[in-house]
Amino acid sequence: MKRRIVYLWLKSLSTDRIARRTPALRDRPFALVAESGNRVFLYAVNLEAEEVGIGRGMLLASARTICPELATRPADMRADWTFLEAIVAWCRRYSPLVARAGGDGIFIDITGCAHLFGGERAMLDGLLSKLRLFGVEVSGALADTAGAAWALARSGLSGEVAAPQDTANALSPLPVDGLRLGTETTETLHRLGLKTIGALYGLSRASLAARFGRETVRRLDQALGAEHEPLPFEPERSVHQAVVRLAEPIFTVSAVEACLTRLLDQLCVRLEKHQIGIRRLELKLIRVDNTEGVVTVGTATPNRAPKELFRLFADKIEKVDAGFGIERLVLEAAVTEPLNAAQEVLENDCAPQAGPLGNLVDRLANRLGFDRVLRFAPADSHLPEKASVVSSAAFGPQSPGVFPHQPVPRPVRLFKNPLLLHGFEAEAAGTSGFTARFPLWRRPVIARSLQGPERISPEWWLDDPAWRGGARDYWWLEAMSGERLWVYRQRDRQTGEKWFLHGLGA
Amino acid sequence: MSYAELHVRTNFTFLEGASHPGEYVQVAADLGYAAVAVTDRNSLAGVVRAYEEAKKSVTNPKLLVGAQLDLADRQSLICFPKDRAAYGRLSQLISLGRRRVEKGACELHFEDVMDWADGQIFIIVPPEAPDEVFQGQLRRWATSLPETVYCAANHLYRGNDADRLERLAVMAEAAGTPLVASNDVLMHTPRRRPLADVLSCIREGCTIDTAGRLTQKNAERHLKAPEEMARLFHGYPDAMARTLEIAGKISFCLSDLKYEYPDEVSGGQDPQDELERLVAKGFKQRYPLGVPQKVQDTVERELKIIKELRYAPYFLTVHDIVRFARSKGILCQGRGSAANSLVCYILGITAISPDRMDMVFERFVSAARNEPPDIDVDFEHERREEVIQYIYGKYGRERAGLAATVICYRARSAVREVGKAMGLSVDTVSVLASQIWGWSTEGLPEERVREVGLDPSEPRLAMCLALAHELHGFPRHLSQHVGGFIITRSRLDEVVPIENAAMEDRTVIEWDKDDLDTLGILKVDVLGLGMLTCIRKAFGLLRTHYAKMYELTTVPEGDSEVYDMLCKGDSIGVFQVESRAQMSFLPRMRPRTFYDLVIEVAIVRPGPIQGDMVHPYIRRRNGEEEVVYPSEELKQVLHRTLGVPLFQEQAMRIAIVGAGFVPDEADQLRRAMATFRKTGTIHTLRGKFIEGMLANGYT
Repeated sequence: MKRRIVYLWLKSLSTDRIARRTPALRDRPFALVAESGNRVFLYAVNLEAEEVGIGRGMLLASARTICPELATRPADMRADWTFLEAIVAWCRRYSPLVARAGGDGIFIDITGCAHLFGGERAMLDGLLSKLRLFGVEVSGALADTAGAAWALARSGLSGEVAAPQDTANALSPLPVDGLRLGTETTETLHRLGLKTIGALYGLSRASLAARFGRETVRRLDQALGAEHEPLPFEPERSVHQAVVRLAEPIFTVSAVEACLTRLLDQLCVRLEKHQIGIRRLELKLIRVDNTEGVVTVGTATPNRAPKELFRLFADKIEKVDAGFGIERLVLEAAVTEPLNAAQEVLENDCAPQAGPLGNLVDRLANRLGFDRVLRFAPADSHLPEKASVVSSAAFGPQSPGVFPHQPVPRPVRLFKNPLLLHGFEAEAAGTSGFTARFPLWRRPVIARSLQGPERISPEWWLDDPAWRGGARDYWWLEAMSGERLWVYRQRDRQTGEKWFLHGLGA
Repeated sequence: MSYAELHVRTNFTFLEGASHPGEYVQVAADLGYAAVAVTDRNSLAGVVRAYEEAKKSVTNPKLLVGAQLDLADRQSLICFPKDRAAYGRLSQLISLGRRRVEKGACELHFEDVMDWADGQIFIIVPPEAPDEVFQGQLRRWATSLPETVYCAANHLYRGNDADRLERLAVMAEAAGTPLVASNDVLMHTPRRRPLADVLSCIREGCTIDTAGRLTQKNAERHLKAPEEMARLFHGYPDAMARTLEIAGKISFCLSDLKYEYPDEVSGGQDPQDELERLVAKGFKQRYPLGVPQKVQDTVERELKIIKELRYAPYFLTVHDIVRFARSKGILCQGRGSAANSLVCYILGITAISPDRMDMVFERFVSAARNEPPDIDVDFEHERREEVIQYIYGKYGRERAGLAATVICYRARSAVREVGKAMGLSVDTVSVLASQIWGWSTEGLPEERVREVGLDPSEPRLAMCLALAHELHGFPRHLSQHVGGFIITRSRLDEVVPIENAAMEDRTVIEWDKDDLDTLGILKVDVLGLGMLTCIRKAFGLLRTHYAKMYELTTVPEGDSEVYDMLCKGDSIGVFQVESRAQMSFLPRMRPRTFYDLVIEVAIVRPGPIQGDMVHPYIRRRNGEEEVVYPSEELKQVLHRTLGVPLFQEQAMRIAIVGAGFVPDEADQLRRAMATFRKTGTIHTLRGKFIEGMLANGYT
């Protein structure tokens, strides 16, 4: 059977990606900009911008002179790639054979699939209209070869379906630009009057190759189907799973655990080959009556150490009702992440991959929930409440970073709202014979010494209501009882000095 | 209570210090400091600016010239030369470090400091957390350089200052390096903290929101009142007293850099005699028919002033350079204020006799001004390098160097950099920068900002505009002057540090022409002019194609076809009159003589246009308005420009003739008119001018 191939040209993929989410940027000149050295140039432009004469690669400054109201956003090549990947995945609904063609196109081999979608024309129309509905500007064509579909779609004949075995006729009137040749060759062909693909049919292959290079002949042959063109079809993300079918149903926890050990070993060996680690594992226990019990565990960091993973299941398996017996176990790695092979530690074959803290986080999180295990990570600010952020321990980066050295330690516990200290006077702050007595939480505190001050000024570029009072002088106050309080003094024009308690020391 | 601040970085520690050198001196004077230092990082670039401010008043604090030396192993110390000789060593030390590495950087080691340590006072700057390593370093300095090493201590509200001071005191005691109070100053007032943070952002290439701990934790690193410093150092009165003690030990002042100009003559001859001999020789060439009495008198007066100010060697230098260029067939031409000097004309430096143009010598050299004369000489740009190499060859690289140009933030670059640092979008920044023509000295007016669709009351934008205004005028880096050479009798690097230029084989000093003026250091401008190359090539073509031999002095004047061409405004490619403004003015002016062209060039300038001189002149020239003069004396001054004052020289003459100014005062008036910055002087001169005019019967 002859192959049938669809080519989709996503000509303004990058701008569409932004415009889909930002209606304000639709129907007006809009470009993505990237910096190179000191110059800012246009990385991608939308159709409206092209219409007023702005093109890719132009300097932003020159584009602005052409069209002062040009809207811009920074380019993000990674996001473009992910977006294209998502479209590729969506295209699998038409055929399992989908290939990326550069950064702005997709080939779909729909051989033998078209009848499922009401024939070739209906299928292509549906495909294009659906993509346009998503807000993606697309032109597409269907032909016997990838080259022919490419030529049709790029020549402005969107929606064209070239009849089977009729490629040569369909291509004949198209400009040679459709042959996927370099700009130089294309220009030469134009200059020589060989403007259409059909014009090349009559020429001898030898002279064509001699004049314009082997590539020209090869591309022509590929477009006409005389030479096979392999396409880089991407396999669908495979599901990582391992299955055990049992001759006799099992009932006991220990039996399930034995099966789980086998499954984990199998799965982990396979994942190691692909350098993939597990973030979430699902164990399906299928009973004889075809009902199933599911146990799910997660990890904070990608992991493929069977023993560590096994431990996470420990308490959960007991809770599964075995019913009339379990006859099949399926272990599936539901969420995975790349994990490079690490040097194995020789003396201890169950060396923890995630580190002791990672294991603790995993075990706690599997019991309490992943959103409930939090940790402090350092943040870059002088202000005490901004010097750390609380984030999920399981989903954050593996290493939260190191807290910077402070000349004076910061408190172990920091209050969200500093507490106004009534009746605290510290005129003689800093001198040796200092004492003060003031009430705190309905009991008296007798201050023994004050150490400081550390003067912290507000971040002048933000208007933080908490810091409107101006610079604060932080002191460590030691009480007779041994408590260490982190207090600060704020000078207020109207009310004079005020003292607040902001944190507690260890 | 008195105090001297010994650790001050100005904005010549680029993108770090947040105040101008002069601002420190002003604040130090207000606070009653005994002395204030300028210690930029591995540089002496900012000291002259501070000196300029300090010498304005005798009550100003003493200025201590020094540098903070940051060594390659991250040690940091402040160096103060005690006398002129030690200053030369510090300058050579910095030159050494700067010549080692590429432009702008400096690499110094412990051993280098040792080599040049004679006569210096060192203050070691401790790290944030002084540890055993620092203790070792301190001991090493103290044993290597006994009696001259101190240890800096500061109280910057870190929280542990009391402990840190105590620790430092113990270390300093053990090492025998007495503790000195300082405040590690980065700004003259705490209000500069935002600018200091923005400078950090520009330096590190981040925005204010991501800068985090790069910003200043508080605004304490400013000049504080002596009482406040005493309170902070209440346990260490010795450290406070020691600042004064050190200041007292330093006798060096920039005025000691009495500039030593090379003699230019060998064998004990007097340069003045040599100059007079050359002038006498020149008379014969310039006035073959005998010297007119008026010229004779003027030359004698000029020579007297030159002798008085001892500028004779300078004239000899320029004469020598011009002579060299002529001998190599390189076209050259003196220009600018040197054209006012008859001596320059007779020596062949300039081409047109000043008496023909009615010029005033005081514009060029003035005894009252005590500023060096400025002889600018243009050379063919393609062969200027030969002249430069000749100068290097004659005086050696250690005695001749190019002056620097301090590249400052202009309105546009300031708003761009600040905008970027404040995290404004590229679009907003470009829109703001595009409105630069609307920037006045007060910054960008609010209506302007509204016009481009931005909200000036938006806090971030308002901050950005205010900061950009503050940054305007800050030095950004040093570049090489287009051709200002300074030449010294002894080693140049004993006067000022020398660093590598971006161009290969070029070295640049750290001071720019204003700094050199302040110190009275002479410079010779060796400028390149493309038009001279063009003229030389034209002469070559004339020779090969028409067999006509011309030189600059023998080109025939008064060719009417040339004037016809100019009258039509067909002047593209003609030097000086090819701009669009000139081209539109030519048909109205219709120049027919050389002097018309002189007026043409002078009149299409901002001054005459803003002063509304253009239209009266044109009307009078076209006979639409009667030419009247206020008096017969002023007619002498103004008749060539039909009674409309157009030239600075005429302004000077009017002041002399009409208001009874002496020539030096007239020059002050000209300078006050020419520069905006010296706003104070113009008012006093205005009063004097009006009084003088009234006294002479002008109304």
